[in-house]
Amino acid sequence: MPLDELLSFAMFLPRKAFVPFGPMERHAGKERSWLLHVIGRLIQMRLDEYCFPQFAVHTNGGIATGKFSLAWLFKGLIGAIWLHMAWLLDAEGQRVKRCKLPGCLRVIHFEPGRSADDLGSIKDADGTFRKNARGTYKTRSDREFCKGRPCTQNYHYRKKAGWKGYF
Amino acid sequence: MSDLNPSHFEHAAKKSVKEELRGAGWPVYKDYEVVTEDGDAFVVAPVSHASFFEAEPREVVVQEGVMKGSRQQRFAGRDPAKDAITFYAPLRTPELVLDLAELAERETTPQVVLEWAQVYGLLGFPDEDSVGSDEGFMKLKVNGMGRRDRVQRFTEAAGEIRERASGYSKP
Repeated sequence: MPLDELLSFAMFLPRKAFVPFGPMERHAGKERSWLLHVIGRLIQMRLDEYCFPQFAVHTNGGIATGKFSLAWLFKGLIGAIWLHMAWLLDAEGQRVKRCKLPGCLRVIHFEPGRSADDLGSIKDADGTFRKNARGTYKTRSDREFCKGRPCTQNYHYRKKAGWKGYF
Repeated sequence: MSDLNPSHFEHAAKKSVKEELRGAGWPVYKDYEVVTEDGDAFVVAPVSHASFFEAEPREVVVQEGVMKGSRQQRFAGRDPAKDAITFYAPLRTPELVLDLAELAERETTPQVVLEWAQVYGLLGFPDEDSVGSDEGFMKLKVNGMGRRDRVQRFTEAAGEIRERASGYSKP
């Protein structure tokens, strides 16, 4: 997301959510990290406000079975909606891979490979097959940095220079 | 937001909490109405004495031994939740979030909130979800049952959900 879009997005967040982190302007170059902190706090605020855990004892005919469950309940439908949001971010946090460069945090998109036929480059305009027509490779599954930006170089340069947080 | 669909929420919920622990219900009432209080519009599922007390007196047979018996008539208190036409489980309804986010993309009028309530019920902000009736000799009050939403607050909450959903995975 470009910086201006990020700024417009941050405008809608409640002020209380970014009090502990200060305004975004103070985090030049680390806006994405700031935004993720603020979103985390916003969700925590809403869960505090509208949801609560409930620990239940399972029974059978009034007799405890020895089983227990931890469930989440909500105060109002709005609480259920925030629980859905929290679960989504929790699940996506494990699934979505972000750029390894500290402060970049852009999502790495894993694209499938496409054949020349899929791309429409297998034939010339006159319908004859092209020689050596090639498709695109799928994104490597071990990709660590985002595409089209100098994150890999920055990362290795900073790591070599002994920057804090670059292992 | 175009990246998101209800299956994302369904998958996330299944991964986080077992199906049987997501059964808590939320009411959708038969009647909602738009009311204005101090210049603020509210959508309310009203309560009245009629909704608390059954219209017909219930007969209770009291029998003491074989020889002595009597028949009493009494008014039985009625659970206000009985006004609900349905209770559903919001935590098993993943489309809720995106439907609310989509609602925030257009102007949220009291009528829009009322239509939403007829499908999913009101949002039920705990500090404002209180309705009462002051008819006759008795004051009635129901709290935390999804019976009253301020339209302005509904709009703000829907906007917040929309912003969060539209910013999904972009940063």
